[in-house]
Amino acid sequence: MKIFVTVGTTTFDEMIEAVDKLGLNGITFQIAKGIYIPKSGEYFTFTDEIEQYYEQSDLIITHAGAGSIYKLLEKRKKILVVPNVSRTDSHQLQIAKYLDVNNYAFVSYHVNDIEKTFFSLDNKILTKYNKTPFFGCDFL
Amino acid sequence: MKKNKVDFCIVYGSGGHQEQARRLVRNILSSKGLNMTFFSIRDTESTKIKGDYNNYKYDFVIPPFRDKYSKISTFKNLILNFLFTPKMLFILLVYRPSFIISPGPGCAIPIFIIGKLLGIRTIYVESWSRFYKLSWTGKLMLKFSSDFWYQNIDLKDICRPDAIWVGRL
Repeated sequence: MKIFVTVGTTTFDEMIEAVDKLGLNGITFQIAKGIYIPKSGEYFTFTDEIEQYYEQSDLIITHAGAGSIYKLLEKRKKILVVPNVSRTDSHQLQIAKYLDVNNYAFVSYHVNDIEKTFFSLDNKILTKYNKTPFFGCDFL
Repeated sequence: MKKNKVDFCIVYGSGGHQEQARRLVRNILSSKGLNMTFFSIRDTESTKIKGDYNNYKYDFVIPPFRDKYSKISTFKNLILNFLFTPKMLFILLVYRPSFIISPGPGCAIPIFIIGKLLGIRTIYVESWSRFYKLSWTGKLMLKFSSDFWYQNIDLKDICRPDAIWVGRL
């Protein structure tokens, strides 16, 4: 399984480290300005071509940034979402809960749960994501 | 002065706010006409909206409003934003957009206040990551933006009565 890990535009060293310690190889990590350097695969900070990494991967482990998540779900990718709670607000928990309740993605609410969630991925079939597309321009 | 007029102003910050701004602009142009002109006011952590637009007239950069990792930096940014007020006032007076639209974050607040004082329509779009609680910016914008749009229907009961659910970008 080809795995890609992404933290978006903000750092999330705890998640990178937790995935790094799963004992796997060949993972690709996007670490932003993080200082933890993973050893179980290649890494980079940022890219303009993140869609290519999405396309090539079977599983994407991602922080709970809505931008990353919606792009991935729209591409019908399998994702494991980990909210970053080291920020000063906890809004990443909201989308994590939404995804969990609707069964759109795998969710680990704590980095310590990543291992357990990862090794039980086959036990759950996800629901296909759908949304009501934006129609705000009707009101302009 | 008339030839300076630009149709709308998009205000945004980095990360998900920028992606939402990009989608907003794309939606507005494809729905209202590709010859609509616009300019951006964005914070220093963001970049210009990507896309092949020849109607993307100007791009202004201001300090971010809040530092998500530090309350001290937030205070410093509040002072910086206050100092930028004359510039923002000048920009809005010169380019006179028909509306100012923003998916946040807080860098939009000073511009919305100035815009409102100038009688410009101000449209705030609450973030697509908000389902059960509004953002700080959203809570403030509830009180004074001309229009309050939200993307997740779960927020209906905590928005003001004239807030509009607009689907998801």
